[in-house]
Amino acid sequence: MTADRSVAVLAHGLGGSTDLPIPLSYALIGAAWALTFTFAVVAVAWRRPRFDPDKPGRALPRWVTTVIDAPATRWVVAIAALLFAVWVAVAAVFGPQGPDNPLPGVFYVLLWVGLVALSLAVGPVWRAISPVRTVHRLLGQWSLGLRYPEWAGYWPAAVGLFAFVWLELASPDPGSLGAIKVWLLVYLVVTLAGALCCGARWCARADPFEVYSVVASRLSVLRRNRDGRIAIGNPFDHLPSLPVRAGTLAVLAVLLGSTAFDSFSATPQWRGFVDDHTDSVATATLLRTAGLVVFAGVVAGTFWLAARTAGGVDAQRRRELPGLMAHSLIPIVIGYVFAHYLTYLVERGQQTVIQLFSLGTDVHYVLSMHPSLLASIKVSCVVAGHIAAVIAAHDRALRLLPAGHQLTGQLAMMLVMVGYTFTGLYLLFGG
Amino acid sequence: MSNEQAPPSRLLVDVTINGGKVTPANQQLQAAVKEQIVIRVNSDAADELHLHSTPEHSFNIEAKPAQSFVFTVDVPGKVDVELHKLNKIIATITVQ
Repeated sequence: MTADRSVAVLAHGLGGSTDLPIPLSYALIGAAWALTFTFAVVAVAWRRPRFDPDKPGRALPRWVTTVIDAPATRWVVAIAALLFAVWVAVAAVFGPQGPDNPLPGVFYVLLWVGLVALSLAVGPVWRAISPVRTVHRLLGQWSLGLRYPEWAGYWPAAVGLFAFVWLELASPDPGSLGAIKVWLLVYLVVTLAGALCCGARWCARADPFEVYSVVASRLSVLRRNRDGRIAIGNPFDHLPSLPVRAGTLAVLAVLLGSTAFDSFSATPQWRGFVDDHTDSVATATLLRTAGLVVFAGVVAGTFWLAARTAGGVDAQRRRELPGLMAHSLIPIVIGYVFAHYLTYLVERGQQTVIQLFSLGTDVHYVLSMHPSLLASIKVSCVVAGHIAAVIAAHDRALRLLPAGHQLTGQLAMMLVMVGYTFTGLYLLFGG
Repeated sequence: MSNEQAPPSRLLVDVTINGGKVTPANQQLQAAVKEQIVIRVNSDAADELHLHSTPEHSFNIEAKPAQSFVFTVDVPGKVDVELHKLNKIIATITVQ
């Protein structure tokens, strides 16, 4: 039966219904809070930078770090994750080749959204559970010893993340098991080949999931102090520790732009537009690809321009500003990802786990059954993300910009962030 | 799906498939949870009707007039009504 292949043309390749739009009043209240808070921060908040990535957090007892860093713990976690990956691979190949196959759920929900939730809760976990890293470790960390080119920075990861969202949002059939298998195979081959050429640094810079995990982990309360001890600290001290490399802004722009495009591409206006202007699968794919590029490009372009409008800095500093401000986008990205994918994580996540282990239980649709509660959570996520982003950007501007330019230098950035948040709320409201 | 206590109101969607064209397309509709939704199809080609609700429903369309497909949606959300082979969205039903 070829029918099954299709169940998933829509809704992120998973089928099923999508969230109800949030009510207009919720969107307006959220927008009002975001705007009020933004101006409050710019006008009356502190005038000296408060947050510092070097400020140590409150260290947890030494045994916590000892246990977590113990080779035995590392191996147990890594091997368990590798076995899980093998289990998924077996299910993908030998399981039912239809909508009951758990692969799309594992790929689009557990990996894409679950990884963010996990990294936010406990830190950059992909480093510990990445199947490629584990295989590489089993091979004795062997590598050709080539240098990972410094100029490449996070660009390979940004390309990998774009490839992921392209498959999910622009490709002809995101739910196709074949397409997901090919994607994963290419990912595994490229990442393992990279690790064999450049060592583990390839995984740290070029593995899209590891970079995504690192990005999300910067908003976590758990972190490591300079001496390596695991500590609890203020996430605002943690955020600026995001490594600034070539491609950092591109990574964040792909994440935010694709999530927005996901909402946008479900609007009847966009669907009608695609139907009217394309006459084949290939042209429709091209048009959606262009839409995705435009969304990520607009995020990157507006942020880049806004960061560079600041006055009173020399050319060198001006060039660095977009990268140095990029961490302040993280809360907006995470808030929006949760607003957008929460029901996916909770409800499709349950469904995936049930499929994966052939459990006989039913999915609990608590969130979907309570639309007002769900809408409140979504708006709260977006507004909280916005407020955190504004605070982070404000504090960073105080550190980077010379006195006298700090207030004006922030204005463009604040306006851009308000723009992201209003657009996000508008898209959640349904366009 | 039979429902003994079907509410009196129901949503009726008339669909025509003719020469590879489907009407309506990308229509926006409203329905209540557990309300009967009836899709009436006149078609000149075999196809499949996919209801992207939770859980999903799927019906086979034959090349003949006046076929009716009845279903209800229990979980609120936006449900796409998709014509599979033509790869077109007939309507999105907002169920709440």
